[in-house]
Amino acid sequence: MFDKEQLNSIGFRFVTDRTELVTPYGEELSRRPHFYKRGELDLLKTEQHNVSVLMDAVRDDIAGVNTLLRLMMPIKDIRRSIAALEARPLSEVELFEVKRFLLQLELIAPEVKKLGRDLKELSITAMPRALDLIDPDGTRSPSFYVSDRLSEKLAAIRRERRRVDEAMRRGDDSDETRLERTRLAAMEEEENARVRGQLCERLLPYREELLDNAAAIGRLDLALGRAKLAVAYNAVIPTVGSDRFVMKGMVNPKFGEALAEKGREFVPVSMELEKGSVVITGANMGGKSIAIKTLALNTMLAMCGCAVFAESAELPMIDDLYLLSEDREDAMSGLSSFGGEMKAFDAMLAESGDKECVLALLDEFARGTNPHEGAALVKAAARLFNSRSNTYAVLATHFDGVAKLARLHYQVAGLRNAPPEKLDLIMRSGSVESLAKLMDYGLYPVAPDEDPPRDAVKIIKALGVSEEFTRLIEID
Amino acid sequence: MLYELLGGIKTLSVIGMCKNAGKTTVLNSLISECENAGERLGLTSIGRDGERSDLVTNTKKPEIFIREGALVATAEQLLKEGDISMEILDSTGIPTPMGAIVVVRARSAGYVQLGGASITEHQKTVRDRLFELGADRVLIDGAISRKSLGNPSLADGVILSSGASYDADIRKTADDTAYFARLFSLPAYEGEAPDLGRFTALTPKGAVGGESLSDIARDLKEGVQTLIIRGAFTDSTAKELTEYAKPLTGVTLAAQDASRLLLKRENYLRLNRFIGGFSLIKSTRLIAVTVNPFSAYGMHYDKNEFRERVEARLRESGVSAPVTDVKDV
Repeated sequence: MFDKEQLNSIGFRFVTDRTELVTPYGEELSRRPHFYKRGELDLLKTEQHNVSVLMDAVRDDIAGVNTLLRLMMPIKDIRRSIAALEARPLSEVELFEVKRFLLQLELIAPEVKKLGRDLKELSITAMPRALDLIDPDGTRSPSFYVSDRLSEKLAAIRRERRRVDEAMRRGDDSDETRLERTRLAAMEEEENARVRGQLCERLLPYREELLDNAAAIGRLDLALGRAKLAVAYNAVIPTVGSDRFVMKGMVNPKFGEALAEKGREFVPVSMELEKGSVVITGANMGGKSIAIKTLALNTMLAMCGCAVFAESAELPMIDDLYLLSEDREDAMSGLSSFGGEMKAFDAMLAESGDKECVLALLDEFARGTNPHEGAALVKAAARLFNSRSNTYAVLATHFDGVAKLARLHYQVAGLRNAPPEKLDLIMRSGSVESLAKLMDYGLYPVAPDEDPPRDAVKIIKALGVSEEFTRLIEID
Repeated sequence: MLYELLGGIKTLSVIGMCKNAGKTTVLNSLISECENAGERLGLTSIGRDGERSDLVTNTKKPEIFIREGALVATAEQLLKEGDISMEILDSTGIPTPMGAIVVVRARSAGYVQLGGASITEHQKTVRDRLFELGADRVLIDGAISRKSLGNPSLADGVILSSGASYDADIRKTADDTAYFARLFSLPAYEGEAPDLGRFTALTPKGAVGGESLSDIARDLKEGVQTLIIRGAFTDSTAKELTEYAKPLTGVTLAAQDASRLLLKRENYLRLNRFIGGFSLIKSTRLIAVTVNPFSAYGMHYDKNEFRERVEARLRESGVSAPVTDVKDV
């Protein structure tokens, strides 16, 4: 699975950051997203179903959704208090939070029923009996006070205390009165703690139900956050568990936003994968890495039960994902980049061997060595993956001759279709931005024997790199 | 007697210049006067550095005494230090080293220990919450520090408490008290306050700004009316300004609020000699200065001499706030 650096680089972190959550339970689930395992397909489908139901709700009844979110906002994390119920009397603040939780349940439960009648295994139930215990006066006010009703003794101490307070207010400043006040305050605290202990004992039978509700609120919060994001980005629910791997019109919001800031648009990427090696070739700067990362992001999202940023998506149950790129954490720390990459590759081979189905993504594998050996290494990797029936491998490379071994070959068009006169103009201006506008970032299926485009020199010229250098390249 | 001075002040901060300045006496007196007038009070504190160690090592009993009905915003773990019978109204989730800030209503009279948030935005949230929950007026137990002036932007009125514990030298204490009082009474800056960086100069040709004065050195020569300074105004800021004494002669300096003025008195005075004066984008009203001639370290001042010295220094600095001995509040 991906490390933090990779989650960030493929844009997964961007997506979780943009998922708006309102409860601590939802935030926790989002921080540690569940990657559904083989055998959990039913659970994954349930999550997808719920996200889909909530996507409809976001589209059809945003006011209702916002009402629900508002009601969820005051929810605090009461799990520690619940766990402590047996061990000690909860403090007044803790009981306040439990009461607040129970009050919000009363309000949330009917809203959830209204909004998502079809939600599966996500029921939030009001707990009026538990609430009666904590609010014996039935005021349902959003504050907590240990009620006089819970203990005659407590009520009597408080009456006495009020009498002394009143005497002091009228100016009785004698030592006896002060002492009496202190004594009564201590008595009240003691009785108050006893009553709270008793209350906690009575709440104990509701422990499981409270925790179930807390967990359900977390899942609801997360599913709502995901649904809102999905609607905002026109994401779709993928078909997971298929025997095909077809991703059409994928986008990556992280790169989409970065491009939008420069006035450009993300060109959607479509790919069909087969077991064995799929190869992407194409120009430098042409978007091979972005295509790989976009595939990684959307596969990852699909396996977490989320909608994917695509027109449509169909994929098998994936047991694990691997990404070998410059963004690995170890690639940034010590070990030469080539050495680190080979170790990571080896670990991937060893680890993925006995898994039923994995996705292996290799971005510019062996980039750190000479082109002759580099090409041999990538070809060997392609052959190796072809021999593994459990691996969907995608290799992005600009080495020659690799594509011939591929089950499928994609190419980023790069500058191939750029009108020569415009290219000429840019070469004179040396602007990276104008060059980028001329690049065709689309990914196209091509014949296996199609060679990678030779755009490096064109790009160097367009970038306005030293003329002396450019001339020298042409000598060779 | 402080009560009559409060007027329309909704949020009042009591700031002590040192320990044992008598801040608690002032607060208790104000609380009692406000409550006698039938006000529902909201009380909180602003967090201070080292609060935790202070409270753990020095397990002093809480000394703020409130009556039934008052609202208190304090750190969760400080609730048990007090002895009021309480109703929990809100748990804000705003963190402090002593637990999250909670808001309670006193259901009996009793002692409370105040602890507060240390980030301005949080402090504002807590203050606003107290008003939302029904406080007529909010009193803030301000920070004790020689270096900073608490957070006046939170309050619209300030009472400054000074005392003999500040320094063994009565002159030094009186001078610094008058200096702090002066900072709190600086006039409000009324003009436009564009934000073009750390320094924004308003010139006849328009506003120019930069992160250092050298960025706008040429513009300064064109003639400046006002120089707006954002962020901390420290001794090194003063030094930088002194290098441009000529173009800045007679110019009004506008700082964000009194808490940003962290410069030594000497440097303040040096600057004041050539600039046109200081003003504050967010100003507060200095309600009163209280003085405590008793020192925690045994070096007591003469009661009358101390009050009179502070009064004289305030007059010299053009500050009109009354000075009261803390025994008389």
